Amino acid sequence: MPYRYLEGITTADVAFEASGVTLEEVFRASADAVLQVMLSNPDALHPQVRKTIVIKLETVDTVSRPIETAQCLLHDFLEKLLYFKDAENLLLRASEIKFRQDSRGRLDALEAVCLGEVMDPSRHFLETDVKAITHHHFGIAQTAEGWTARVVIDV
Amino acid sequence: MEMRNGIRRISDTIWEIPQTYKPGMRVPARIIATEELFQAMDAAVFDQLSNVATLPGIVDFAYCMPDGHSGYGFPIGGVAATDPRSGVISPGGIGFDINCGVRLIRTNLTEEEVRPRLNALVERLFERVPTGVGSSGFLKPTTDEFREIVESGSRWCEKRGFASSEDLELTEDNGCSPGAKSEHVSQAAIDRGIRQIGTLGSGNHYLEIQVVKEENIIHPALAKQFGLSAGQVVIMFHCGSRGFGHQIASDYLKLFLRVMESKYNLSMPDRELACAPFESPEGQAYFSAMKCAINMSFANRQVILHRVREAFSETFHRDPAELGLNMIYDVSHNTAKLEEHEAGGVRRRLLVHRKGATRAFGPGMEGVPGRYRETGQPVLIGGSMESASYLLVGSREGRSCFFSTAHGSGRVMSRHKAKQQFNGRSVAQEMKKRGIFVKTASFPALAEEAGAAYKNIDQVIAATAAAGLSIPVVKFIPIGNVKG
Repeated sequence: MPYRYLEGITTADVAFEASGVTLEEVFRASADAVLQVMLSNPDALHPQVRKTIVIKLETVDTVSRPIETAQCLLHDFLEKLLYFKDAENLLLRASEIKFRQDSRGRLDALEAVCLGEVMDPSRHFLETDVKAITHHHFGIAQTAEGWTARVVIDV
Repeated sequence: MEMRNGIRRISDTIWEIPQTYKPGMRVPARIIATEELFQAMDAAVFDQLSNVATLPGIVDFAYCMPDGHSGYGFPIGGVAATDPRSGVISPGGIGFDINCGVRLIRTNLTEEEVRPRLNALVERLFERVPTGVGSSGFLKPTTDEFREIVESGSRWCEKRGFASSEDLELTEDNGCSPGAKSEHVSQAAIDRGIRQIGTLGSGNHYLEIQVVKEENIIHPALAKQFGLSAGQVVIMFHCGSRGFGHQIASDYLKLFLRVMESKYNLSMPDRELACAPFESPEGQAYFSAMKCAINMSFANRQVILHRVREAFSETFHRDPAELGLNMIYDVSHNTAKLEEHEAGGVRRRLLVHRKGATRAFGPGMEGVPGRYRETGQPVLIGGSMESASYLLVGSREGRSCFFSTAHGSGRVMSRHKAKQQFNGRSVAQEMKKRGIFVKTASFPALAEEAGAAYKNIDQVIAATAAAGLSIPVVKFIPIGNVKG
């Protein structure tokens, strides 16, 4: 699994580290890590509903480094998945992630195609609700193998 | 007694972190705990509490209650009062689950009467009060109605026949925080919360049937005033503002992070402590939006009470009034409120942030319902599902901590570790053997809430009493539990 849950960071909530060779992989793995807190059998999630999530940062001008932009995009992207969970009862997995750049070649947006379905307690083993994506220890780092993201979620 | 990094024990229950502990601290910090609880606290509590002490405008001390454990931004159990004229408001000092709180209801049923129908009762409650991920309530408000709900809280419930005037009287703030304006709430927050009124959520949220045992009546005179006696059954539940409050907290954290430095030249050691001057447009907008979440949560707990009354009535074939299903009180433990307190020898208006801490007004204080003016405000502290919960009252001595006390047991084991260590079905079977019937939406989630994952509630209560923050009245033992 390209993510693992971490001990020693939060007592009451859940922390995880997601990794991937590319940033796209890290975003997909992070989405799966959030999903698995709520759904213990993510393979039972059928790709019946398609949602395209577009995140465009309003503050990209004030963000100095691309990695910080990526962090903002990841945070907003994961929050958007929680939005669909509550607003439409949808659990989603990221199928395709595309990053976009502004006219000056700076990373400023992402488009994610997400697939999933409305929760069905008869097939989905639902576990613990996720309330929010916190900023606590939140970050993306570049490693020798690629990228990692560290996220603490409030449950 | 001097300890590491200058932390000093200054009384049996007060441990002080000096202002010199960390650069930027504006006041010292104090942890209220017995030695055993203090020694068991995770190291991040000290770091987070000393960060809280750097909030602009903070007065007196940053406090951590005896059930404190690490959170993010504030520790859980954190209390901080800021000067509303010169200080800040911080969503991290309230938490994502705005107005998470506890409600206690009396019945005139005894354990003997309930036991034979306990399983049926718990099953019916489980059916009537949706729990767990993705649950939605029976109400289907329009967006306009939902806006009315979040601006008026329990008053809307009274208008719709889901609440009595007594229910409102016995809810903190009478079930409606004034000044809530839904124009400060995003459409995303409305979308997330509109179907969730009357739902419990998951995690540490629960609905329990509990019993008063004779040996657990700690203060007989006060117990009598609350209408509690040996053998009596009560109902306690714990939940908050659901996705609505979570989204408001997320929205404003993001906004505050954007303006904190660029507009207000403020810098905090932790992003979760993002803040804005209380009197700024952003601070006032958050304060108003937060009040909407407070009201949504009051309405949520009120609608749940309505469903609880229905479930009891159907199970026992008697009218809710005949069953004596009357509220004792409803408390909030994730809020920020403007209150009058003494600080630095002067009485002044302060913005008191309580994150995982309960307001505990003493006898005679304004804001306490008339019928409790002599006893002090009822305080409800829930333990783990396997142990016990308490009714306490606020005390005059509580002024030292802005009349605040603990809110629960406090976790000592991570959720991940608890799930590795316990099996949810076995936990439920063991509890059944001990006379507690549990109905859960998820057995793995149940494992996360095993009693061993929490501090000993009796020690937490003893610490609040020893510190003079609240006076224990009755300890309740669970016999039935609906778990999210």
